[in-house]
Amino acid sequence: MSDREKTFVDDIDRELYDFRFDSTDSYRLESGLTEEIVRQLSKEKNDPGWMLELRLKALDIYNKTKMVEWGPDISGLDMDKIDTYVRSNTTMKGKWSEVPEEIKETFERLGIPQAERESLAGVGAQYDSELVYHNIREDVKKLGVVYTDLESAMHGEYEQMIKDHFMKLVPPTDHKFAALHGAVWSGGSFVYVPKGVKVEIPLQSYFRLNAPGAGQFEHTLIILDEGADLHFIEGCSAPKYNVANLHAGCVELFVGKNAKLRYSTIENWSKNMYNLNTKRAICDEGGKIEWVSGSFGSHVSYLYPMSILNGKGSSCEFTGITFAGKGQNLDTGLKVVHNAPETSSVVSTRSISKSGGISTFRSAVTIMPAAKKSRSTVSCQSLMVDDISRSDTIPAMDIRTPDADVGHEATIGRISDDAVFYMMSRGISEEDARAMIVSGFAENVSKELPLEYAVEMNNLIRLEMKGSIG
Amino acid sequence: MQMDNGMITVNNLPAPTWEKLKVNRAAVSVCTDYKEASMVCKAGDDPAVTDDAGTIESFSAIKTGMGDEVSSLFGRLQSEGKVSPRLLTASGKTVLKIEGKGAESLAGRLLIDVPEGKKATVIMDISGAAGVLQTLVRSGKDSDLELIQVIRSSEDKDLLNDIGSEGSEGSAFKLVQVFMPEKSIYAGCKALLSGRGSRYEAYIGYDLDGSDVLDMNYHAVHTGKDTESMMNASGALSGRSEKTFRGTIDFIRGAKRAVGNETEDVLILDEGVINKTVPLILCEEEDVEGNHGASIGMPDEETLFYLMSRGISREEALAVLRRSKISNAVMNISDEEYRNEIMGLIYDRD
Repeated sequence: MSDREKTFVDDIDRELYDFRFDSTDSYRLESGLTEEIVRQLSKEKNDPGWMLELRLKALDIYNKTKMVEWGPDISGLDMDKIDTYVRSNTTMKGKWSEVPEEIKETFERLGIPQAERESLAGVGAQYDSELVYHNIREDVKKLGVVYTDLESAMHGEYEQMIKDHFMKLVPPTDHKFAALHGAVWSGGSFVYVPKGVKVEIPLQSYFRLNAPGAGQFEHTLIILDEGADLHFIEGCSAPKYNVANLHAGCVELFVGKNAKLRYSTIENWSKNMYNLNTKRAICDEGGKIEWVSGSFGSHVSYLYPMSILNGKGSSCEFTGITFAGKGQNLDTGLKVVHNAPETSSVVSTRSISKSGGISTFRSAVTIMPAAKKSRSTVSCQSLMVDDISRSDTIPAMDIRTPDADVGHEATIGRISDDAVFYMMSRGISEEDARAMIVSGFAENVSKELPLEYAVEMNNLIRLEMKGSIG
Repeated sequence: MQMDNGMITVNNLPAPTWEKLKVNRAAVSVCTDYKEASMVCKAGDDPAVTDDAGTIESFSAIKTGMGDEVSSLFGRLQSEGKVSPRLLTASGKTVLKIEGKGAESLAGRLLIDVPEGKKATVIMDISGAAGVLQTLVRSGKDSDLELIQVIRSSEDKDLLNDIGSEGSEGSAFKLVQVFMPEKSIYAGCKALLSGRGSRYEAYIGYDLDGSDVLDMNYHAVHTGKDTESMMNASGALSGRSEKTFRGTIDFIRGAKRAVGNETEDVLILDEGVINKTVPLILCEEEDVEGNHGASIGMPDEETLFYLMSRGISREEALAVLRRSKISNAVMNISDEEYRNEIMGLIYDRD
């Protein structure tokens, strides 16, 4: 049996996202990570005393915590060369017309103001280390929904609520980069949805990292009260530089009794980015968390949204796709802990590897003794587009009660020659056929996203798949 | 060999994950005073002690499921003259009995050479054993080996049971293991499928109760084209037993048209059980097909109801389901007489 011939498909420029503006006017703290830098940052942000204390403790934990011995190599990340705080010469605005021209143009090109006008209840736009724009529709505000930058909220009537929740779900001791985040976090949003309130249209935060050699450490804190309902969308991008950038954000989601939160992310960082993000949700009785996750960017990613099902009948759904192309090592997945009776989790993920990219699906499903009559199903499918890439599946299940039902399945394979041939016989080029098959493979995620984001995701897939054929 | 206070590390997960899960490896104690395991042949040719350096060296290069520290332990024991590897040139049917007594720790190394074109069955009946046993298999071109191990360990000490195999072109290696521990068993098998068209099947059955521990690591490495692997583990956990199953299908670049499948089916019967399942697929070759599936949980109520509607008690119905899980492996023993003997053992445990 002879080996098959391959079709070589180039990657093309990501011009839509790969634009940048001069950042020399920005204010920056000196590179590196020292107590002095953390104190200076805290002073810049006018932190209350408890926050400074948290930062310093987190720095101490960071210095004492070893790096993990699994996962992609991050030896190319030198914290001494990362600027942990970069701020443009502007304050946060409530109208796009007041945002400085270059920054406004950035977000215009990314389609954020247009999306806000057409289909969002509120937007937070972060540029490097600070929010530059934040707005919420009046009708949503009147429902009692709070959507504001975290730092303002910390100095106002929500200070105690924030203090009670901030880094309680993801403590600095969780891992080394959670500790780093605790020390140098800046920017991000606070959302509170009152009891029984359903926010019909999504809120969105968009994170843009413009400065070379900078880090972004935004913190998103969302609290849904009993019976509340919200869809929150997160997007991100950055221009590509020859130096490393770092993203070590943190997302903490508290889903109250019978509340429902959908958290959608299209991650499109540039391919010099180290994306070491931490996301975690905890659900009370009857609460539901839905994760929709598309990972397309970054040089290296460690990303495992975690759901703690802590109340009877709480549930989690996770739908995700990861596309690892040339020069990328994306280690993504999820963790679920069932810690109460009658909880359920349903996971459906896809991963694609191409042009030497490395994609790893990593998961942990834990069923504690208290999780009687709980159910979990995990389905993971991996597609390899060529034989210079890599795809690994590393799931783990830890089951500690007989009264649970757990199923797991995974497959790995390649694009079917038969499917490509069939489409070509209908007049479609081989390049288009392969792109369509991969888009279809990602359909589990695209159908969960609002149309505009599904279109963006499919465009990203086409960007990765199409090019000259040799 | 790293030996820290008499401890070695075994069953290393080929691609480690979160340390908090405690599945990346197992630490086991080893003793300094091993007695050579006798392998009494009940049928077929005796495995003879070999001191041929070339043979020992070529077999010693075979990587095993439990890892290099076990092989290093044997290297040390051999150099101290405490263990002599036994060579079995497999042909036809061979039945070996390895029996432990009391608290003695045994060490035994069996080298199985399956000549080109030969078909063989090797049955290892291991009972009351504690210590460390290693079986290294080299399968010649177009050979066919069925290795059956029925393992009932000692009540007093742990048993380490390690296997490594290399398959030449067109060879087939079928492993059937039935674990009925009395204390703790650490087991592993690594099968290297380097020959074109070579095949590996592993059927693992277990029945744990009390405070039994079964820690496993199975690794099928595909380097040759058109190779196939199938790993199936099925068992039941009662009492406060603890089981870790690591199963890895590993497609190395160049292993075109390789196919790997892995399934695990676990029945959990009591509170206090700990079940850990870690099924990996590692892949750097596009033109392959890999699948794994796992199903873990309690007995299906409809099935129980059906059995009880036939007039048997709930306890007996649960026992039927429990026995069926371990029997899934036993059913793959081709020797009918021995298969019936093992089924008898399984029933006798109740």
